[in-house]
Amino acid sequence: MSHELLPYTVKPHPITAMYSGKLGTWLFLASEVMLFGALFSTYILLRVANPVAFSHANTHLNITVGAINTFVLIISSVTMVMAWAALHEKNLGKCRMLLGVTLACALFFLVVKLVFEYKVKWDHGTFPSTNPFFAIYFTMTGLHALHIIGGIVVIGYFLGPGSKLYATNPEYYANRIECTGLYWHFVDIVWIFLFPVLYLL
Amino acid sequence: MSLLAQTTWWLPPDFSEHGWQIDRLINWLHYFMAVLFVGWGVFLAYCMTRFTWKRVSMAHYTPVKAKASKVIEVAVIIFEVILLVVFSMPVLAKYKNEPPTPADNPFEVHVVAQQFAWNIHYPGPDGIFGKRDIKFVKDATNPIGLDRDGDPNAKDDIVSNNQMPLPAGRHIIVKVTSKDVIHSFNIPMLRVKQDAVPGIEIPVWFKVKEGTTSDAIREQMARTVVVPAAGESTTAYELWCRNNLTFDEVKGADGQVVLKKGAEPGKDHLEALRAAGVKELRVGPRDPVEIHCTQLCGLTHYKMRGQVLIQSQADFDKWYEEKAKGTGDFIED
Amino acid sequence: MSHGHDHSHGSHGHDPHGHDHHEPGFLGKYVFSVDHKVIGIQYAVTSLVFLLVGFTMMLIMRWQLARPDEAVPIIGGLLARLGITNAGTRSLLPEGYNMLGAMHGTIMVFLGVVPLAVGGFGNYVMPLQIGAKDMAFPKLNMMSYWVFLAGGIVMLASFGANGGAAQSGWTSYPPLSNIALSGQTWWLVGMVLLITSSLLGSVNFITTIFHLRAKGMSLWKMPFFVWGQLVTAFLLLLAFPPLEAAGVLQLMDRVADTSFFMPAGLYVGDKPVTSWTGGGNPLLWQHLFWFLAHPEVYVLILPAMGIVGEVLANNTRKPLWGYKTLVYSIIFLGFMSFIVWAHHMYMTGMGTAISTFFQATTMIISIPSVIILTCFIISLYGARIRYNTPMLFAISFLPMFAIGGLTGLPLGLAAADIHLHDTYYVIGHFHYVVAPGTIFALFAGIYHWFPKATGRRMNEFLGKLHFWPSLIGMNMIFGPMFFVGIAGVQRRLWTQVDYNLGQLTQSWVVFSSVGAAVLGLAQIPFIINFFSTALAGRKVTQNPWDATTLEWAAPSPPPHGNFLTEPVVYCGPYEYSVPGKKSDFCPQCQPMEA
Ligand code: HEM
Ligand SMILES: [Cu+2]
Ligand SMILES: [Cu+2]
Repeated sequence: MSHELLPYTVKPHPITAMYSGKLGTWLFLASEVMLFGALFSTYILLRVANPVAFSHANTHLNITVGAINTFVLIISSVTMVMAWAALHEKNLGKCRMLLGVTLACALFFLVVKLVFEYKVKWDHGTFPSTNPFFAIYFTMTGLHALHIIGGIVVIGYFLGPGSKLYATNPEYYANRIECTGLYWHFVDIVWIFLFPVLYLL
Repeated sequence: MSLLAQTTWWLPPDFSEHGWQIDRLINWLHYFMAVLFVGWGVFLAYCMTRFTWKRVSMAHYTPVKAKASKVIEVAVIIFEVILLVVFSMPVLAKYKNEPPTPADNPFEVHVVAQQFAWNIHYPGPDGIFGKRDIKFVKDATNPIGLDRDGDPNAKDDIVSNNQMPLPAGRHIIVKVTSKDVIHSFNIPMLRVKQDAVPGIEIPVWFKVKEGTTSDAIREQMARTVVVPAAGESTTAYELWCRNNLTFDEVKGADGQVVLKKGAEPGKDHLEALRAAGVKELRVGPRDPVEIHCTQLCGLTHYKMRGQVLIQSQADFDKWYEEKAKGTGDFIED
Repeated sequence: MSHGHDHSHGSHGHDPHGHDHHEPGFLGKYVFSVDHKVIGIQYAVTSLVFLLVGFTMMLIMRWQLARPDEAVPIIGGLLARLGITNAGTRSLLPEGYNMLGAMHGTIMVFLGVVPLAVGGFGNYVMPLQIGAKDMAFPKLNMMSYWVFLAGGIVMLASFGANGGAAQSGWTSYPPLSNIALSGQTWWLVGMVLLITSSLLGSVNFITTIFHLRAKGMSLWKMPFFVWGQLVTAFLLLLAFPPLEAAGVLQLMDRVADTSFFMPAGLYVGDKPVTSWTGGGNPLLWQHLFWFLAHPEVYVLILPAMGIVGEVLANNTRKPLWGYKTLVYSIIFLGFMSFIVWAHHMYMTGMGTAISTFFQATTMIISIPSVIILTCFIISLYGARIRYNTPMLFAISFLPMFAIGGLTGLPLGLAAADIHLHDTYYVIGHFHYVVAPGTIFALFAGIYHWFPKATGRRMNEFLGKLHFWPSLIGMNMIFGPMFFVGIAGVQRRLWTQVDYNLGQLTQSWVVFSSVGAAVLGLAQIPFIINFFSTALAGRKVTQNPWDATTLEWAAPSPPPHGNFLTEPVVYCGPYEYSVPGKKSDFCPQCQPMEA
């Protein structure tokens, strides 16, 4: 097994000005844009075809809960950036603490989503099959929730076992936190689109 | 060999008024393709034989400043533009955007596709289609859910299964839809094709050439089938007799009738035919103009075959009156 | 590229996960390897097996088409256990035909050609050609393979599902696919895995090409094959997600009873549909599907063009004619391929404005294909052609692709498509592109790079014994389909003998099936050649073809890390027969003056 890292794993490439992980993350996010783009297009198409179902259904959503979750996610994005910044101050402890806060926000978001939104709807007998609005609502928020879970796994890894890398190669570790952050901001931005589109419009 | 002689190489006959434009486009496209292909091919063959390892001692680093490729590209572009703008767009526009006007006195028919049949819905003499709703659907008697009892307009409607009688020489509008999955309503010999999408009703229109009848087409498509001797393969015989009818009574040497006029010969008749010394049969397709389903629609998609019965307006009217009287009738195929 | 090589900081770091400082064992070396070459070979071997499986399915179908309702020879009894044949008569059942048809399409495209062209050749050859030590993300690369394999296993296992494998065609149009049995769910799960694998792979490819090129390897010095892989990776990256979204939506429709693709008021079989509320649109699926699936056909063809470019340049002993034009053409193809998708939907009732737009884009996209073909053919002019097996396959790609490409024109013009849409003409058209086209290019690639991967060269006699009957077989199969289609016979039929037009073309069908048998037999010399060469073939030098590109500067097979000394690139990829030079080729890694 090679003990040498490939070029530009840590240092940015002179032309793209990114290290490989960052370029890879951006490419991945480009594909994610296409994924959610397709779903937003579906939303538009369904909405045009079913104006009544859509204009009534979103009154069933709890805007307060949605807004709280939006706020929490925005906080988590900020703490994510701060965690990365802490590494520039060479303060791993602070970084991990902030990652912990981010993780807590993410978990909070999920629990709220599950208990105060999904479960409430299910108890009312509202399911994805109820009408086209709830179909797209559950599908998009569900897929978003899967992305949150993915984020939790990654953040948890770098908070825990992954942080050992800091001792041997702090710059590499900081890069990974940066990429995690890019992903996390994306997940956040998706929600910032989802919230008005599903809850407010 | 008789098999090969009767095999087709190109477009099937066309009995619609608009079809020639489609055929013309297809033909010209293929001339154009042939020219390009032969051009490339000749050049390729020349290079392949001229520039071999033995005949050349060293390849040319920059052999050509080929203007040729530019010429080809520009020619291709010009030709494609012509085909698109002159021969495809207007044809399509007419096919899609210019329905017959009331002045053309068009005849409207609805087609409701289902797994695996074509339900043809005629409005009856009143010219008004009765309401359809799935809550009235009964599989065997009312496949399209026609509201026979509630809607007076439905009283004289005619619903037919797979059989589609149509008058020649009159504008026809077919509104295509489906009860279940996506099908595609296709009559190759009338150059008509339209997907049948559930939840949407899409119109197509065409006109069968004046004077066409299914009987005449059957005669036109007649073929001679060789009766295989004992011990010979019967594959070709069976294929060519399938869904085909005899034109005349077939009699043996002793004058006994082996096959009636208009009968479908099959494997069962072989022995009698041989015994009677019949060497050849003249047959024609029972349903010369068929409806194909061109969209995979499930298990027996391959069987979703309808028949267009082309008649003169007078014959058609007679049939129409007749059927409309038998209210509630459902015509089996 | 003045500082293009300054990665010294990076390379001093320690591998954070390198706790195992011993040599990897058998598993680490050959199974869970992160080496791009091992992964490439894993991909290649797996996909060759899948190609054979997909082809065998088609042989069974061709049997049924030629001998309707007759017992399938040899495996007829076995297939009865899977519900594909009738247990009594052993003939192929209509549901069996539909299963095999859907799976043939899916397997050939997603488990055969793409993984061989991209996962196999891309993985193995591309890093070598740009002078990289490995892919940018080796572990991700390994994961791509395993996710791909999982997807393949799910697909195959779906034959054991209740009611058998998916039967709604590789296009899986709803509502048919929504109301289908559980095999369709397996298909969707398999597709999501395959898509995920492709996405991971494309991120890896693009990053590798942008970041890991050797010193001196500017973009315009990259071999054409690498360009092909780069454009392909972008297509995969951006076109696949919408299909993934569509797959998720269909999965929701099937599992959670949503109605994304279900309109209200359906009546299936003998009862009204009640499990879906309706409100959806079945055409939405078609848009999402073809938004992927048109770029997908360029994913099938671009790597093939890349291989043909390499083999042609090498065996004509001269530079590819119009290298830059070729590159611009495939980039243009890549862009355009995103805005032609609805030419598959002319018959769905779309308006003339929309169909005019898609007709125009389709005509425009045909231009770069014409340019590419013309460049390739002009490349032969003034050449010194060496007719070895890879060259035979590569040259025959040209007329075969020409037929495939040209017959796309009538399908791209909506008026002609009225008659041709969904007939056998379509099957003939795209198979000329992907079977005698892409598959031949892939064979060319196997013969061409086999010496690199094994250090042994495949037998020429067996190679020609493979090539000629394959060429004949392919044309026997697919040529007649144009006549069947133009006569108006639709595709996906269990048998066509009930139709008038079907009867009139049935002899073509029989002829075509004979061709399939010829093609099948023609693969025997290849299989023998493949294994006997791998085990005991003639050993050759590092650069047996006197080639210029970087992969030939590495030992055969290349060791872990690929190059013994870090390669530096001095000249373009195809400096053959440079005037005034003694040798007829100048490798990219040697200064021209030498
Ligand atoms: C080399 C041998 C091959 C043969 C003999 C063959 C033959 C056929 C035939 C006869 C059909 C039409 C079946 C029908 O409509 O009922 C078909 C369908 C298809 N084939 Fe192939 N094929 C071959 C290779 C390939 C390859 C290499 C690919 C793709 C890369 C491919 C992709 C497809 C697809 C996508 C379909 C449509 C399936 C559907 O209807 O859903 N085939 N093939
Ligand atoms: Cu159908
Ligand atoms: Cu396309």
